[in-house]
Amino acid sequence: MKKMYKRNLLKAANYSFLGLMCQLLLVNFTIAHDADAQKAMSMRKVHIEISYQNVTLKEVFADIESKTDFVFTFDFKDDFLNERFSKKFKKATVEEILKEISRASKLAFQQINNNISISRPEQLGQRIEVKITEEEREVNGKVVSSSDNLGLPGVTILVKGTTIGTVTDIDGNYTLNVPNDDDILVVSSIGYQTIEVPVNGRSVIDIKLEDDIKGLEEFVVIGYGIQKQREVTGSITSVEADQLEDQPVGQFVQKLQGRMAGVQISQASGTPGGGMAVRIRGAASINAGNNPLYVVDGFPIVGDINTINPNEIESFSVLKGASASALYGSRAANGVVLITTKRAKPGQTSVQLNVIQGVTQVPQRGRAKLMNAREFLEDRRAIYEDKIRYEGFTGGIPELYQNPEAYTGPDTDWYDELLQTGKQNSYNVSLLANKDNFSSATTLGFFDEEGVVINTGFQRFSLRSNNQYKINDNIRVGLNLAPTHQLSRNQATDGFYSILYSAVITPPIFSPDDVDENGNQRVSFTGPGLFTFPNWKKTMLETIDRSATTRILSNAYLEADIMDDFFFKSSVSVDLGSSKRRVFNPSTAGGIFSPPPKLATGSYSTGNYYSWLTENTLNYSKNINNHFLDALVGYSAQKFNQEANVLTGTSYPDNEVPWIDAAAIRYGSNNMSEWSLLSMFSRLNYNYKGKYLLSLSVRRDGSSRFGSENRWGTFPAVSAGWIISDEDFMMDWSKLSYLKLRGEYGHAGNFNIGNYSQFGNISSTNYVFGGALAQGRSPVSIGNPFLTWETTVGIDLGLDVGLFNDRLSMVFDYYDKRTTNMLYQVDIPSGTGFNNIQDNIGEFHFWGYEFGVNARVLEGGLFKWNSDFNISFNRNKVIQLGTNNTPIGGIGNYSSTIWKTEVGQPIGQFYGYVFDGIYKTQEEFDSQPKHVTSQLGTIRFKDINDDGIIDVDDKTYIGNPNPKFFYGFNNNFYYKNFDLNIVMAGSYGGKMYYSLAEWSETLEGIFNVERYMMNRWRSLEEPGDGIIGRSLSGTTEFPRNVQDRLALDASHLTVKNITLGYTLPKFIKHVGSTRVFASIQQAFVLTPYKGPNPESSWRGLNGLQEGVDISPYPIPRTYALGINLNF
Amino acid sequence: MRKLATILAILFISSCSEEFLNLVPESSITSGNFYQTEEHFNQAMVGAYAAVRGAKGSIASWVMGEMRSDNTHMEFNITNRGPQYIEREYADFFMDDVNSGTVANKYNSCYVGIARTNEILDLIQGSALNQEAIDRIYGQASFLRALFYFDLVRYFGGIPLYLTAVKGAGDAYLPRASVNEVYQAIISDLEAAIARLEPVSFPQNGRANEGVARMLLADVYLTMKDYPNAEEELSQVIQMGYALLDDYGDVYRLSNKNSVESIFEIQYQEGNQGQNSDFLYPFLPLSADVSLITGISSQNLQGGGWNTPTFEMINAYENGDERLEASIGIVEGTGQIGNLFIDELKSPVDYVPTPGKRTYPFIKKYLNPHALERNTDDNFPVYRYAEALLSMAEVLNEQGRSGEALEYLNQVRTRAGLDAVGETNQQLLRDIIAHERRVELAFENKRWLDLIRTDKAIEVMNANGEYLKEFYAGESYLPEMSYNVTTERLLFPIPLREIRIGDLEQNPGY
Repeated sequence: MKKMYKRNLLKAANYSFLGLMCQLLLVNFTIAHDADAQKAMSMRKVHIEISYQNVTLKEVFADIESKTDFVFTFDFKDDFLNERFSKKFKKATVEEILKEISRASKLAFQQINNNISISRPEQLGQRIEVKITEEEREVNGKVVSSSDNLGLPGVTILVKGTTIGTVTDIDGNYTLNVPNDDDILVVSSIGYQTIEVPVNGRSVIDIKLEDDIKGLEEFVVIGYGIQKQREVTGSITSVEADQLEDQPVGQFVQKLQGRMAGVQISQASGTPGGGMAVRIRGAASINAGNNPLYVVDGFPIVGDINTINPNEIESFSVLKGASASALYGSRAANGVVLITTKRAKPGQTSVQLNVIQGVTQVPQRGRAKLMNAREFLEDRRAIYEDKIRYEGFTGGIPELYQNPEAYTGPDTDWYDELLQTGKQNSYNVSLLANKDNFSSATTLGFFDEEGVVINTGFQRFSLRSNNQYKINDNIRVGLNLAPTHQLSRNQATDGFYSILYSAVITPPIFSPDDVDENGNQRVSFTGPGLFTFPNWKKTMLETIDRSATTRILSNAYLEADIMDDFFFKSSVSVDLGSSKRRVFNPSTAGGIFSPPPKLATGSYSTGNYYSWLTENTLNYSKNINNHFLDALVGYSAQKFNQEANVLTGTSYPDNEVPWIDAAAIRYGSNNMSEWSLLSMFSRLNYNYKGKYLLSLSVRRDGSSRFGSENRWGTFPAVSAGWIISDEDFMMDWSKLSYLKLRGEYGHAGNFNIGNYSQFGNISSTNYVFGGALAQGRSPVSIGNPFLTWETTVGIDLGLDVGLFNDRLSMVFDYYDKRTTNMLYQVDIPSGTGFNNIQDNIGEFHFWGYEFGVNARVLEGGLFKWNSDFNISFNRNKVIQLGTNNTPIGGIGNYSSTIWKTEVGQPIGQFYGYVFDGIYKTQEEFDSQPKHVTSQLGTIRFKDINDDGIIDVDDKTYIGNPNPKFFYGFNNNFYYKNFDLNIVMAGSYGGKMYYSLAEWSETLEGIFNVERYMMNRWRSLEEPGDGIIGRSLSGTTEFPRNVQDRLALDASHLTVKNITLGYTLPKFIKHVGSTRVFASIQQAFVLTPYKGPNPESSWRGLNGLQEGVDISPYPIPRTYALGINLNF
Repeated sequence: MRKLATILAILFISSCSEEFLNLVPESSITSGNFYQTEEHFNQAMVGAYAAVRGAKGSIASWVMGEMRSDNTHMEFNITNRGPQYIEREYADFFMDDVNSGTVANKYNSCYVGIARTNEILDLIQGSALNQEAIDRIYGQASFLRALFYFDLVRYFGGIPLYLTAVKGAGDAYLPRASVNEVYQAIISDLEAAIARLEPVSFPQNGRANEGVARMLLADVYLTMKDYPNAEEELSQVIQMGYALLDDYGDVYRLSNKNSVESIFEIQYQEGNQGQNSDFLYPFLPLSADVSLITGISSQNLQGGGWNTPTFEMINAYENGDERLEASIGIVEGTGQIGNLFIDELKSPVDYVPTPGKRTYPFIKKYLNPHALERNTDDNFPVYRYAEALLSMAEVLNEQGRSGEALEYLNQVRTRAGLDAVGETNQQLLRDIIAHERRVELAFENKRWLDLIRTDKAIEVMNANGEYLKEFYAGESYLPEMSYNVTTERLLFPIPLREIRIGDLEQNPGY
């Protein structure tokens, strides 16, 4: 048990940014020095000069270590370390010094080569005990990881039953002197299974360590600290970033897809550097958002999280449960993601180089199948024929459409015209060093993505330097600095009716290279009865949309061990960001509703913000007779300030100068907003014998965002656990290696209610009197001084199971939470002059199950296989909405307003008509319910309320965009030097509205349309396939209303990543290890869904407005090659 | 232990003050610190006037006031199928329904103005301002509130009557008041305004005065068919010093903004301060180059082709009526609807279409020089003296004093270059006055409401529908069910959102 403890300490040291827990335990871990491979000198022969005046023995030993090659080993729990010692030596041998100490403190010393072990024998008497053993044998060898056969640095090797030990060097080599031939070596390292190796008289012992992927003894990062995984009582999922390293993606969130139960991550759009949506346990709010709180190295950050280079990250912890997150108080209701960045491991000095180069392409699957040029012309002809036949149209068939058979012009696939083969390159260099009193980890990164849509792309330059300096054994200071600079040139490709959406429906008879009568490239196209379309390619190429974001995340702290049991930490964190975006839409560029030529417009926006946090925490930790106590109190203050400026220019004379200076009309706006938060928090973790676990916590938050009458909120939580497998009565169940039951209850808040919502806003409203500007003001919202945070009260019940010595481990969670005081823009009649009032009225109920299983399916042999599966079921129901339970949404006709949220129903379902065929025959038309525009041959929707008339009252729920469950499935295979990793993620049962059909199924003949539109009703003799109605004027708008026919099943299984790696045998002297790999990101998607991306969602994982596919930026498939070098 | 105590002290005594949490917006003002000074109330008044632009100067105003009537139609553009365009067509075709955003815009914008005036009226009386200032502000706010309610009651019927500012959800829900209750509130507001407002003085600046308050009250009485009271108010207006300009076309020139003929107009100013008007452009044809009309480099590919005068309207002008030339222009060109290549600008007088050319009539009244596309300086008239004269003629004729009516009618006719009429048969004179209103006030968003007021809407509009269907036969866009004008179509629907949220009763037929 002792060794286990020691090993965990080493692990804990990895999380030295918090350093808190390990220091709490007050251990000076002395074997952190490299064992020297040289021949040892006897302590009798080593002379040093020292002088001590009332210093602790701990310091004495450290001093001797620093002046000699000796390394002291001792049981860290010994209390003698704090005993004080005074003596001045002038050129004494180490032996003489130790004899003095032995005399004063009754200690026994034994030198074995360079190791001097210290103990306090029970019966020492007056005997001076300084012994030099020189007859033990030297053992050396190399410790390697079984998965890749690479040397493992920093592995602890102890002689069992003694305190003799060493750690491996950077290549995994070690040398150790063991007293006896039959001693046993205990080899342990973070992330690996501890093994015992008998010496058996050998002098060379090479050791392989098996991965310990989910060792229950691991530490996890929790709010304001770390905790042994075993003792955790809250629902927390964590992932080590090194498992994710090979994926060729630019954002860390992309790597987490499919990895964690309960965490739904969708790639709603393929926009370089964006498009990801995260939602924990189905969180939803009406107005306050559902993004989790991201905490980077203890700093709850406010701005964008995508500026963080994924390679800087060491681990993620997601706090899902009600008590796990409650310590983050008024910001925790949507869950908390704790991100820990890379630190150097003790003893480590290394340089890591990681290069990935990839090409990206848009897969063919899911592209809209619209008409080609000839089909298009034939279809237009048919429309005119019908116009003449049914509507008395006298204009005749336009010449262009008269003879499609003879057509020889362009046949353009407009979607394809906007795509290209993209590139994705990533370069990262990490310098890691942890020697003596200084530890430093620096990662320099460059990520460059050339988009798959022309003239789009993204670049990120990033640096992170995490440094810690030990002032003395009790005090450490640290400074972390992470500047990033991002550049993007992403145009407005996403959004309703934006470029990709609109380009698709451009008739194929036009080509981007078409020229006008003067030989100039056309800026727009039109034809008989056709919409006017911009030249999309020209628009994409000539529009300027450049953004640059600079951000510095920084954090400075001081940690101090006070007396034996206290640990204090004070930190200041600052997040500084500034961004600018310059847009210029030349006269030759335009949108579907604003085809060029038109006057050029431009804008220039800048923004900057700062957020600072000061935080002080004090920990107390004590282990008394199997009662382990760990208490935390803390205080923090955070402030956020943001300024935004926008300049817009219109009426440019030409496209010569794309800056605002050239615009004839310029507008500017400039504003500032702030919020502040004061918090006090406290937690008590208690366990008895490590198997009865209890945690209590409370946080008080005061926020400037809450109304003056409701400024302070209290968020209490409690959780408890019972490790049943540790009970005596379970000992017979030897197959069951671990069984923990846990439960939690807690309150968490959501403070994303806007900065000044409590006030009624008065905005500038000007007018003119007598030809002169009169400056005025008018109210734009109604204030509410009672406004407060949303509260989510939840419970969680969980079961952790380990079988067959944890070869198979499982986690099961059930949660149930209610969000009350929901911040709600209570819709009020427009007669009041306003549309809504902010109020805390509304209640949602959420519940769900999560299940995760991890198995080392095959281990020990040459071929190894680890497998990981997780599945999550989230459900919700609306309990209350506003004062009158007025439903949200469900009023508009088109897919941009498709959702309805109503009491008694799940949140955010699709609401629309139910398709019921077309009136194929006169009898059908006469006998069936009708809409005011209905005619023979037009679309028919179901008459839901059975009143014989089809109108807005016949809309009903036509689908739920939320999946019934979502899941992830990851497999790692190892064979000799090869490794293969396959990551899959998917969902089942969610609906997606295919909104492109709103245009690609138009009947007016103005756009290019789906090929099946040819089969529309044309006459009683030619009724078509019964799905598409006729093109008669006045009847063609109604079929575009939202309908269940286009709410499609978006169940999918996506193979997110396949990586095949090969670790090269050591071939260059100075290279520690080399691994090369090939990786495919977004390998393929299995889905019945018609569109390309079953994860797309216009509003992201918004909760209330999910699952509408607006033809967003396509998600490319990436083929990449990479190399990892370790020096 | 002392060390520990120090640390605990640092932990909990640090700047833990409420001050840190008291943040108020610096870059905007809030209701908490507004409505304190006279300057604040003046600013709030400016805000209330600005609401007139939304309520009476927006797209909905000409869609519902003019396109709904027989004065104008629109150019059917098969490619403009967005809901906001279809709504306009449907308002024209009498096919509009509860989903119409255009209709909702009219409803909501009027109430935005009402909320602004309610706030002022609630707070001004308890304020520390001097009585003169209180009266001035109270009078203007009362007038504006009446102006907004008068539009609402005519377009929607009885509507919820909010007469105090809404403070929260508790007082936000009101049922529909009766038409009569709304009129009583309007009259009471106008009486309050008349008692406090200054008489008109020239030059005018666009603020409300006693003149416009009385004009509005007269219009209210006229609409209620309370002719004696209308006459009383109009006779006061007529004595206030207003006059007709010599030339009808001059009325709309920029140099005559707020002229002696103007009683009330919505103020705009071109430039980059966001005060410009742009209603000229929707009336122009969709074209990549409209510089021939506007005189400046300009295109109109977005949102043109609306509110086009019908040929029936053009023909409604008597021979020699100078107002035709001043009100309507004709564009000839080639190319399909959606992008007209403009060849020539022609007069509507004795117009004969050129073969092979497309003809597009447009409202020319508001065509004035401007420097930048979609950035015009034109005000929009709400009341002109000519309307006071025609209303006077109408109230006198309706009271059987047809002879007296002629004097007022003929002032307007003579200015338009027409001969005076001498008709004293009440019925015939009624038609003459109605016709005179149609041409004199054409495209000033009066026609539909006049048809309603004079109970002519159903008859005129069904005939207009037949005319249009015949005129546009062969172009196949007027649905069969269009222009089926019934009593139910005399009111617009209460927007669906209000029905659902406010639990209001819908107008019959929607």
